Amino acid sequence: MNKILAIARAEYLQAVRSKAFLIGLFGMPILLGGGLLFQVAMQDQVDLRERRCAVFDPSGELWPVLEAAANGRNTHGIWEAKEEESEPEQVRPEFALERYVPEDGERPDVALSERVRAGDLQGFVLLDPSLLGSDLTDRPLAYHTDEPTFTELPRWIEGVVNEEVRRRRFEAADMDRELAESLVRPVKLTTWGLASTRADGGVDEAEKESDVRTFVIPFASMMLLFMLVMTTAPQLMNQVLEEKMQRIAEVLVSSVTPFQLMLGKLFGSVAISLTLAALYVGGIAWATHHWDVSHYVPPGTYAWFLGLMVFALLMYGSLFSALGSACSELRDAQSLMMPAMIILMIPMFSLGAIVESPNGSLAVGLTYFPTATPMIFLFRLLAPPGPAAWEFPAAMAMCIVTTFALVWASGKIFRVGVLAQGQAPTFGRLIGWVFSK
Amino acid sequence: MRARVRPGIEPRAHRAILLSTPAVRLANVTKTFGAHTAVRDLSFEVPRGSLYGFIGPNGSGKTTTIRMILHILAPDTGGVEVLGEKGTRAANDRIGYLPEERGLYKKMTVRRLLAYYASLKGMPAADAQREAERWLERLELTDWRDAKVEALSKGMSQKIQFISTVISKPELIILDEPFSGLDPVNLEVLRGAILELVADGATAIFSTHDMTVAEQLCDSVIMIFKGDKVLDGTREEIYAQYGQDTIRVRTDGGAGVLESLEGVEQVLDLGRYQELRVQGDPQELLRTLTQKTNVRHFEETRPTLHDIFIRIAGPEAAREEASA
Repeated sequence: MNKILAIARAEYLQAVRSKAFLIGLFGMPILLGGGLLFQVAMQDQVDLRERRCAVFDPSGELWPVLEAAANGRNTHGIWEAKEEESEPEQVRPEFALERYVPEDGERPDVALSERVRAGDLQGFVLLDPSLLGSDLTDRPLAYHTDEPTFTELPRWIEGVVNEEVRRRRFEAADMDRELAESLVRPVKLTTWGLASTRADGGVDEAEKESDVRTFVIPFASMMLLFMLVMTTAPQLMNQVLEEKMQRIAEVLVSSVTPFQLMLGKLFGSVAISLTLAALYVGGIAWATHHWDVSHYVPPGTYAWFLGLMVFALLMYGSLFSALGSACSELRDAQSLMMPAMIILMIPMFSLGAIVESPNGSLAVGLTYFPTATPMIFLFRLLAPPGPAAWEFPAAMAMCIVTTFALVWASGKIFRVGVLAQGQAPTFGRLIGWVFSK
Repeated sequence: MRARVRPGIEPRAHRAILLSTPAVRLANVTKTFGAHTAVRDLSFEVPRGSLYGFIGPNGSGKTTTIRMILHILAPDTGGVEVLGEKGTRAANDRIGYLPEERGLYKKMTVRRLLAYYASLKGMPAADAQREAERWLERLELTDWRDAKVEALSKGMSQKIQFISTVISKPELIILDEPFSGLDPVNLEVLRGAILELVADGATAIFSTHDMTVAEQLCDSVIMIFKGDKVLDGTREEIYAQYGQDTIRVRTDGGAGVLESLEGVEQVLDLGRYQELRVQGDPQELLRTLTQKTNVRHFEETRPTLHDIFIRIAGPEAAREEASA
C-alpha cells in the first residue's frame, strides 16, 4: 500500500506543480464564462448594412402598408439611446423597400432573382392577391433570397403583412378586434411543487418551481462531473503510453507490480480531480451563499457529487490506463480512444431523454448501463422528484460492482500490456489478456 | 547490505543461510511467447558477491531471463530463486535494475526523481536523500541535482539512471547494457562504481552483447543464444576449456596459405593478422609454416569470448551478431 501511495503522491505532485494544472484549473471556468461573455458581447454586434428588398404586390393593396411600416421602423424602430440624454445609436439594420413593377413580358421572380444574385437586393417578396381573400393559394406570401440565414427581414415582413391581413379580416367581418383578442387570450400555466401537512396540522404551501432548481443545478452538476472526468481520465491513457514508450514502465514494474502501478496512477488522478472539484465546488458553495441562493441547492448535493465523481474517475481512469498500457504507438492509442470516448459520452447522448423524463423508463434503464451510472444518477437525484427509494442502493451497488470489475479487468490488461511491444492492440486481444492467467 | 529476516530464525543464522545460497538460481526455466521459445530449459546460479556476465547477441533471451529474475514475467516451467526467495517478488526491494533502454521522467528534477525511485524500493526519504547526495557527488553531478532530467546530456542521464538503480543499496544489481552510448570517460567512471559496489558485497549481473566488455569485467559468464545456454562458468574455467588452441600469425602469404595447413581447423582473417584454431603442436605448425612463407609474427594466444561464442554457436551466430 505504501508503494501505491508513493506512486499516487508522485503523480499528484507532478500534476499540481505543472503549468498545465493551473491552466486547466482556471481554463475551464474561463472557457465556460468566457464563452457566455463572448455570446453576450456578440449579441450587441449587429450587421447594420442596409437591407434592400423588392416587393411585388399585384393588388397594390399591401405595398402602402409595408412602405409606411418600413419608414416608421427606419425612423423610430432601429435607434436606441444607450443612456438617457445620449444621442441615439443605430442598433438594427435599415430596411429599404422598393415597389417592383414588371415590364412587359417580364417574370418577376426571374428578374428579381438576377438582381439578388448581382448583390443589388437582399431578397424580394411576392404578395399573392389571394392574401386579401379567404381562399389562399399554396404560396400567398413568398420571400426569395440567397441568404436564408438572415431571418430578421422576412420575419418583419411576415409580421407587418399578417397584422394588416388580420385587420382587414376583422373589418370585413364587422367585428371588434379588441374584444375578439381578449376573448381568445391564452391562460399561462405555472408549475408548482407539492403542499404538505405539518405535524401540527398546518400546511406547508407549495412553492413555485424554479428552472434553476429543476434543470440548471442537475444539468450543471452532471456537466461539471463530465468535464472533471474528461480533464483527468483520458490523460491517464497518454501518461501510461508515454511511460511505456520511454521505457519508464519497465523500471517501475521492477519495483512494484503492474497492478500497484496502475492503482497508484489511478489514485493520483482521483486526488487531482478531487482537488479541482474541491476548488470548484467550494467556489460554487461560497457564491450561492454570498448571493443568498443556496436554497436552490438540494441538501447532500455536494456529497453526492464528490462520491459519484470518485466512482466515475475510478471507472474511466482504469479503463483509459488499460488502453494506454496496451498501445505501443500514439496511432494505436488514437484508434482505441474513439470507442472509449463513446462509452464516456453515453450520458451526454441520452441527456435529452433524461431531461424530458428523469424517471421515465429510458432514463431509469440508462442509469443501470454500467459506466453511465454515476453521471445519470447524479442528474436524476438532483432533478425533482428524484429517483425511487429502491434506486439509491441499486445505483450504489451498480457503481461499486462496475468499479471493481473495471479496475480488476484493467489491471489484468495493464499487467500484460505495459510490457508488450510491437503488436497493435485489438479488442479481442485485450479480452484475451483479461482472462489470461 | 540489508537482509530480510524470516520469522523464527535468529538473524545471524538467517544471514549465514542467505549468504550460503546463490544470489540467483534458475532451474530448468522455459519461457515461450506464442510459438516463439524465448528461453529453453535454462539453469544457472549466480554466486553471491560475484560480477556475473550475461552475454549473447540481441534477441537471444537475455532480457526475458532478466524479467523472470525480477518476476516481471513468470516462467512457463522451472523455478526462479532470487536472494533466497522462491517464485515471489519478495526480494525485489533488494534488487536494483538498470534496463537497456533508459527510463527517466524528463520533467522531474534529478533530486525528486531519485527520491521517487528510492521510495518505490521502500527506502525512507531521509536515507534516500543522503544516499542521493553521496552518489551525485561520487559521479560529479551535484550541480545538477535541481535540474530537470530533460536538461541533462545523454551521459549524465545514464549516470542518473545508474544512481536510481543503486540508490537503495541493493544486494543484487542487474545492469542491462550499462555502458551503451557512454563516452570513454563516463564509461570508466561507471565501471569503477560497479566494481566498488561488488567489492562492498553486492552481486552484479551484467547483461551485454559486447563480449569484450564482459570479458574485462566479469568473474563468471553465462552465454545464451536463441534461448539456449551455450556457455557457463568462471573465466578461468572457460579459458581452461577453450584457451589452448589459438595462434595469432602474420605472414607474407596471408590467409590463403594458412587454410591448407595440417591441424588448422579454422582461420579467422583479421586483416593484418590471422587467428588460427589448431589441433596439435604449435611448434610443428610454425615449422611447417616457415617452409611455406615468411612468418612475421607468431603468438600463442587465448581466444576471446567472441571467438568462443562463434565457435560454439557456429557461423549463423556470427552473422546474427554482426547484424545485431
